[in-house]
Amino acid sequence: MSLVGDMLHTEFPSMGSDVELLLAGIQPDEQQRAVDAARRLAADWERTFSRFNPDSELSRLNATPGTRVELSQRLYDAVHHARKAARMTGGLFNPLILPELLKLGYDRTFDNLPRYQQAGVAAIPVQPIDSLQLDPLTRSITLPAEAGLDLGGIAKGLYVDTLVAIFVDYPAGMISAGGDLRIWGELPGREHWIVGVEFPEDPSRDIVEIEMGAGAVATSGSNRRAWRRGAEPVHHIVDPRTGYAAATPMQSITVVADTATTADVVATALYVGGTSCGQLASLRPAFAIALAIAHDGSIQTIEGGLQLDVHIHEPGAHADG
Amino acid sequence: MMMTTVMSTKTTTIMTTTDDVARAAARENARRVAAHRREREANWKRLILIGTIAGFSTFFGIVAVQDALTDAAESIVETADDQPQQVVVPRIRTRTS
Repeated sequence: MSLVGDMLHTEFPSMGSDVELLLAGIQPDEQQRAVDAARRLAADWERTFSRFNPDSELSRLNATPGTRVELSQRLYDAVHHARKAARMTGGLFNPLILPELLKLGYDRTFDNLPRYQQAGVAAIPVQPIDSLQLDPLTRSITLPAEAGLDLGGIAKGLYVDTLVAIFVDYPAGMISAGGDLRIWGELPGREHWIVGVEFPEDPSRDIVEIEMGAGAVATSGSNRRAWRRGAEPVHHIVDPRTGYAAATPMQSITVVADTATTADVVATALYVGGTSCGQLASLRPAFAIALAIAHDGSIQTIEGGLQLDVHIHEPGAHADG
Repeated sequence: MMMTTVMSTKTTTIMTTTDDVARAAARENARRVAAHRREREANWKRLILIGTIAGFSTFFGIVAVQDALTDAAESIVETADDQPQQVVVPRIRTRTS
């Protein structure tokens, strides 16, 4: 934990990734309590959403497909969000991908995953989202037979948005979970925040910078979680239409939206569907801008319909120096 | 007898005169001593008063100077606070997860 200028800055590992917290205008006697609150919420999230912890609520739900299960408010809300997102993206995002992820060999934390695996069984399309039954009156859901939920990406976005709601009274801040981040407020002497977009081929440098006010940024790509299945290179982003690792000309896609949850969902959908997919028109109102980085390093900019204060430029070329 | 008396009287008179002079001298001396003591005490009082006034003046002078310096420093700080200061922000990045 450190103070940078008048800001609290801390990082800690959680949810198979890193959580980063940056708060401006926080009193010294509040700093430790803020860090504790972020850690406590992250621990709650892991107890609820981790598919690698057999005792998590999600694991217990996944163990009983075809059975109606009453859920905590937190898990029910997350599944409800995920179903809405699946409908908004026309199925390009679908949380029911768990069986296909397991067939690809992603059955343990990525740190413990063998990078070379034997070829597995053939993939099949993921079950449609409407096969998932939600009952708001009893706060229960019924998974379709042989289905399972993976809420990894959207859960990180929800964590960020929930933590922002807790800390939003501080004048400015940034919260990131595994690269899904959200910003609010203005820093002293700076009109905008600068967010670097990692170059997937060389994570030590940025390929482009986003200069922005309040908003959220998320990136989908395969460079960090990829392995071999027989002769085939595979990764963790499953195309629900095929049940297999998404085939795409993109290295990564970065999306700017109003919330981290939405940015994560749209980034996943555009990574799976491509930047000229049929669902783009229905996705446009949900984001401000998307930056697709092709394998040759070229950058395609896709304008969204959401009005946010966003400027894109080369690294180091922003107005604040 | 009479003469003796006169003489005695004279003598007595003379003696009386001598005592008066001595008493007067003593009184004068005592008056001078008292006046000198009063003057000396007055001088000390004046000295103490002047010293006290000088001390207080010096003290309050220093306080006033300190106050003025503090006001000036605060003014400088406030002026500086009014200026937009860039804070150093750690590098923020989005990446695949």
